[in-house]
Amino acid sequence: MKVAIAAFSISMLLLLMSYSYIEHDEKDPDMAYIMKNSEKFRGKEIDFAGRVVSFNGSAVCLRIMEPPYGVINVTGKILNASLHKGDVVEVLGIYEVDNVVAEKIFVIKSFEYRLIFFRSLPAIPFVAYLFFKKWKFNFKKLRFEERECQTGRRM
Amino acid sequence: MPDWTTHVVAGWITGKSIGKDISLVVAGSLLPDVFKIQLLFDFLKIDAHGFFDPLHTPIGTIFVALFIAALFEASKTAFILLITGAFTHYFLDFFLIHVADGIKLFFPFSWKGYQIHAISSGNYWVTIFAICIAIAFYFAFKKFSRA
Repeated sequence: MKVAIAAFSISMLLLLMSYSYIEHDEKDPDMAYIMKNSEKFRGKEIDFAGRVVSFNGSAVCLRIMEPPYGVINVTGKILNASLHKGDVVEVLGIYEVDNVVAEKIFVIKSFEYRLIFFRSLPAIPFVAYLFFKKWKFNFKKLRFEERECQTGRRM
Repeated sequence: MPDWTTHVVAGWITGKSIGKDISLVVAGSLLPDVFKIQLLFDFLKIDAHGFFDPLHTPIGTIFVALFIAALFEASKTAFILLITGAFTHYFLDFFLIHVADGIKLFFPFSWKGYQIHAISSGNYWVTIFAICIAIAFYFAFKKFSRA
């Protein structure tokens, strides 16, 4: 029964992931697809995130944080933004092939963005400790079992 | 996403509150982020093209939890605890600010993302606040269990 459940859940996951892979370009296009089909998206609203390469007060050059990892210029609602090199900027705007006219931006400062990863690091050993303190994997039975010192306590 | 420490602390508090196996609730609190495997592909400059995105949707998480739960003897309990942890993850993610998009709650039936847009993922005060609550909760729990 459990093998059937495992096989079913893996099959469903693969089905969902394949569906996402196939339909991604039409339903939720990424920058690689948008830039490859620039005429199709000209004048349309897009959103993406990028890191500030340079900023001159009226336009910002962003390195896109997803494939194709190229640079793109953003103008529009950024004039009042305080941007510095390395800051992460989420942009919602109108695509104009080699330029995006921002309607809305959201900025995460460079050090705040780096801090997200540093703040995440302690969680990994903590979760591993909590989990493996209680469970061990039995490779013969392909199953997690409670460690012997824990056998008196049920889940 | 809030950082993993905030997610794990939220999972820990939830696990303690319901008095069940904390280890599975805490593991469940990071379950939706298995889609971060995408970062490896990004690092290798391989375009995974949305393949891993369903892992960060409720339906995807249900199937991941179902698969992992099948590896436990008490699989039904394991599934409930993993999903409880995953719920805390989505609950916290729901408050993040993004210019567009959000959590695809109804994927694969709808690709629309939902978000409340309240807190920046760069806001480290959320982590500090969560840790303070966890510490207070730890001592309160210790006091009550002694009593």
